Amino acid sequence: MTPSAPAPEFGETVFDSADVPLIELSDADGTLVPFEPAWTPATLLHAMRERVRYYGAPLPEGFAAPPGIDLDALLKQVPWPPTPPTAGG
Amino acid sequence: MPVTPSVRGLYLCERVELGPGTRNLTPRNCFRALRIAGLPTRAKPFTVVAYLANGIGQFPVAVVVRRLDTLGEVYAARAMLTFADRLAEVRLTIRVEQCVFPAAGEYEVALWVGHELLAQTPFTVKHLETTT
Repeated sequence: MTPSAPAPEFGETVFDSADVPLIELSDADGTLVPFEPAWTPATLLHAMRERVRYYGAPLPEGFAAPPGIDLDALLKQVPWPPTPPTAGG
Repeated sequence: MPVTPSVRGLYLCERVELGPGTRNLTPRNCFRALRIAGLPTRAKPFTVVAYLANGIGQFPVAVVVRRLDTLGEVYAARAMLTFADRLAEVRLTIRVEQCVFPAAGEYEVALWVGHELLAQTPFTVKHLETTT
């Protein structure tokens, strides 16, 4: 086994981001303004999939379908209820 | 033709520091949970940091905080941003000062550009027990 050569000394290094655009938004200075997001099928489906992970079910009890959204169609796209494990053979 | 940017990372932190000269961004106190006294109440300000790339055009960029138990939205704000150079990465910091949390539980911060969900990250809100 040959001994490895010692690592070279560090070269002078500057960590820099001066050329990278930075956008700073805040709800305190008016650069960010409140709005009321409406449910879309995509946003609701995403929320349902996330909810299953933490609460075991895609929708809270009594959740009413937002106007124009087919809740049954979305439920078919959520991995729920969990599939029971199959017996080994 | 507008092209929606992609996201390279989404982080939650207490605040960011900007290096003088280098303009390096340093997120401070990146967190996965907020412990808050006196719920429901407004949390101390926190910052959402995102790195966006490959976008060109003008888009509404929105941050939405949603409660995952009720699916209720607790915060939503947006701004119109212009991406001028498809090759440039854009660093975005969003300072949230007006978010009121109604209860302990699981929440999600989502970053939307136009109608597209770019990234989301969950976090937990817990009661902070205070001694009086």
